[in-house]
Amino acid sequence: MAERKLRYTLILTQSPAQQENNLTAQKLVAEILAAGDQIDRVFFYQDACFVGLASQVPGQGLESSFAGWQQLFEQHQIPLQVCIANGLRRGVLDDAEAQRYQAAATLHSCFSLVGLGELAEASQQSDRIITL
Amino acid sequence: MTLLIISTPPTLDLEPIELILALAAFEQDPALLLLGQGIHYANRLQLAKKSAGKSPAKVLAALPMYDCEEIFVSAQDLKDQGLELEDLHDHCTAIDDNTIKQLINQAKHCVNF
Repeated sequence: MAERKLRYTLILTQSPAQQENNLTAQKLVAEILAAGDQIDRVFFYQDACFVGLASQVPGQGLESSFAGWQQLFEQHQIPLQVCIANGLRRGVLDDAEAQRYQAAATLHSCFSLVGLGELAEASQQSDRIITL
Repeated sequence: MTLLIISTPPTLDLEPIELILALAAFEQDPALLLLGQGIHYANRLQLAKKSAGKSPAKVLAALPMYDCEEIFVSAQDLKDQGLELEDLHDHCTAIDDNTIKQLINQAKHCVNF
């Protein structure tokens, strides 16, 4: 009988300026996928929401946290979810919220703004929740 | 049960508490464990961190309305922070390290802040 895939949710809380944290999370995602398991979502909470900003420019010669997420999204379609309440406080708006608040949309298309209900679902459906 | 463990001091917007309120609202049976400086979330004297904000203890007071009636705090960390149980929100229970281990073992998930 085939082994059941483990389902993971990752929660990030630190700013993408804390690059090591984001890079560690990306390596962990890659390892989980390589082991044949499943990533239900990567959820960005508190200052980690800044990672969804489309306007980020990394310092010259520096590796961007954002590029790694974009690559994982494009290759594996992992849901990259930014907490809507935390995101709005930090100026991270998708098209719908930009329209609602008459502001500019700033969320990159790899990411989605979602409510905390996603984490309630994670606590029910994911086998492991890892906070980084 | 999903156990939220807070070991960092209260933030401007009390975002870790927003998460436990949301989990409770979605009937996910969350429990809260305060360690280290995280104990100040339950400190009655802790004021709002910004004008027109809410004090952490006031927000914690909403938890029983969502059937999350007990807030666990580390007895050792409470002492280390120079606080007594009476300084904390009404629904706090001080627990020793062994009970903390049991609580963590019982949890399906632990989310750390």
